[in-house]
Amino acid sequence: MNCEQKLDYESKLNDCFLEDCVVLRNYALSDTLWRLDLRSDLIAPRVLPGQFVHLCVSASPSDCVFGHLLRRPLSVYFANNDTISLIYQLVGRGTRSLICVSAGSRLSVLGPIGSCWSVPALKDNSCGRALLVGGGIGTAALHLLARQLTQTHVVDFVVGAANASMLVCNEDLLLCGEKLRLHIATDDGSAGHHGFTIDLLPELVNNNKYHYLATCGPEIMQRKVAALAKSTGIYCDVSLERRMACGIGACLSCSVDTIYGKKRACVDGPVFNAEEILW
Amino acid sequence: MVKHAVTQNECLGVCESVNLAVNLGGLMMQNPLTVASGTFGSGREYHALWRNAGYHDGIGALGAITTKGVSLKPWDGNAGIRITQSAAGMLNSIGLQNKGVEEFCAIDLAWLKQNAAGTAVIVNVCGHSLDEYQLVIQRLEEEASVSAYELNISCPNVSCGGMSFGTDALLASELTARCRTLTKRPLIVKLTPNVTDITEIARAIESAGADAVSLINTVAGMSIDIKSRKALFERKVAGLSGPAIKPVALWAVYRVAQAVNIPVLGMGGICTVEDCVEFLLAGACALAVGTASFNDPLSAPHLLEGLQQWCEQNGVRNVSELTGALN
Ligand SMILES: Cc1cc2nc3c(=O)[nH]c(=O)nc-3n(C[C@H](O)[C@H](O)[C@H](O)COP(=O)(O)OP(=O)(O)OC[C@H]3O[C@@H](n4cnc5c(N)ncnc54)[C@H](O)[C@@H]3O)c2cc1C
Ligand SMILES: Cc1cc2nc3c(=O)[nH]c(=O)nc-3n(C[C@H](O)[C@H](O)[C@H](O)COP(=O)(O)O)c2cc1C
Ligand code: FES
Repeated sequence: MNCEQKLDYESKLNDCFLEDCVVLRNYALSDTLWRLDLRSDLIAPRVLPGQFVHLCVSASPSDCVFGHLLRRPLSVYFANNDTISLIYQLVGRGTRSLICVSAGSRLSVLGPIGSCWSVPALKDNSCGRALLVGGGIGTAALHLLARQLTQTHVVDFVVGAANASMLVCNEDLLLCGEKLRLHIATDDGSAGHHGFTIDLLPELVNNNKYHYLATCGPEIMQRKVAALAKSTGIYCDVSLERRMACGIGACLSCSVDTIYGKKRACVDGPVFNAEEILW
Repeated sequence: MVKHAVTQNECLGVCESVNLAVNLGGLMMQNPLTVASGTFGSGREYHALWRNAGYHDGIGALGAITTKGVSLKPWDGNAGIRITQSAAGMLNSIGLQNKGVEEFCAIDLAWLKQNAAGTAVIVNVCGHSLDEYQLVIQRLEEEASVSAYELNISCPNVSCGGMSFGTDALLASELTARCRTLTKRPLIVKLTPNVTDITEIARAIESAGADAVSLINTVAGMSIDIKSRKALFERKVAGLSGPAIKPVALWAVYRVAQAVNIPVLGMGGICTVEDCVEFLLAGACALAVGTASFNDPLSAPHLLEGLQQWCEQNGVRNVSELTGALN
């Protein structure tokens, strides 16, 4: 499926599955980033760019119940017909437990969940251009979008992180081909521009006409990107992170304030039109 | 929690021979299992998932569905972080966010009517004042698809109303008595463990006319972010749930079941079939699964199958025989 097909609520619910996925690979990309590849027959073929999965961080059911009761939400970094790839940053107990899961074991995965990147303005515009802005691990949520959009459109992908080893940016991006324009920023200058992703945007926006802007990363960054989009009239989607218990819309632990009232980050989001958000 | 669906063959022998039906203070349930309020929305989201997993009746498999707390007007719930994980459990500070009784009737009840018509519906009711509880019930009396009420007088996450009714025997009994006059439907009152003597409150609501008592709501707790040296939750206090509170819940159920003659709806950390049997033996007539659904969204149907098998294997022909059957 591609991201231009937006689903209504009922079909989204009907498309969500609980699947025991075999771990194909689970390995370190750097000292803080890991990659997890899962075999999936039910979830993988249904994933839309921007959606996430809610997974148990241990392969032992009793360890999950008594040690890691809550699942962890992780964006789908890449998916094809039978595999899902995730990139996760080591944060706390849950993600540290996840690195102990070995290939061949099974993880319980719930998904795909949530809204997808909407790309409305690009639909009928083959020469349209998109700007994607990813901060830190948030970049993972934009990868699948970049892969799909670059099949038809020019994409400027701005990727930032605290330092080079935290950049979610690797040879996978080569598969995007010549339509991808990569721009890198690190807070400490260890790769690309020395500073924030935000610093790179004014020039890009001045020199190019964008029809779509998508951003994911620290909320403060997303807020600034959204403000820039508003002042320059670019349609902008953001992807918000909230702590999640159920992950399917039932518990209201993931509340987001919007101009339409309270929304749930898990099923009404995580991708929202930037104009809806009360920051 | 990886469990297997009962195969057709296994089910033939089992389903026929075990009677799972229970009577919870006048609420006839096809089996003793419901869900804990607030962990399950109004069932719509889980319905689709259960059906995708091969449970064709979806939430119709439950003995009853218990809804999220419903108030008179919409409530925003609490600001800031709303959940965190703790050892064998979690803390929540949702604060009873809900869209109010009108929207609940228009959307949630309408959906339930259309998609789970055969399933009993217990509506969890909350309010800031005695009047608010009464007005919600009055409005719900107009709705044919409501089967019973559960008065939430035990939520630690709201400052006005909520737990303040459940920690004061006089207030609890006045609220119960007033709601009693408004309805003939089964009236369940949900108690908090955050009191000196839970049996005193249970006896008070029994004499005020409650048909059943449910317990326990979450245990008051706290979490601190040591980097900022601030309480993690804006209201500081939050509600602890999950396996961590099971022994506390079991003891409360046991004591209340000894103290009153109305049936007990037991909950608090139920995760396994053995937990279900323990609660029944301690005196529960029916059971609710809450936090376990966050870990295993198929937890309730899994437990139901497991309980059925357990009864079969242990020569229990009526699940209600187990209630209070502690040696
Ligand atoms: C829709 C969505 C997509 C995400 N995608 C990714 C991704 O692709 N890669 C990645 O590395 N991270 C992603 N995150 C963040 C990730 O869920 C957290 O980093 C992770 O849950 C931390 O777990 P922990 O046990 O290691 O941390 P702890 O801090 O020990 O976790 C304690 C509790 O807080 C929750 N929590 C802590 N930080 C976050 C957070 N930032 N967002 C949500 N819940 C949090 C945990 O789930 C857990 O319940 C995403 C979050 C959301 C909501
Ligand atoms: C996220 C969450 C929301 C809850 N919301 C409500 C509610 O709206 N009304 C209520 O009476 N109890 C509410 N509860 C309490 C549960 O119904 C239940 O009493 C408690 O969680 C103990 O059971 P458990 O350990 O199986 O979850 C909530 C609990 C959780 C975890
Ligand atoms: S995580 Fe439960 S409603 Fe979003």
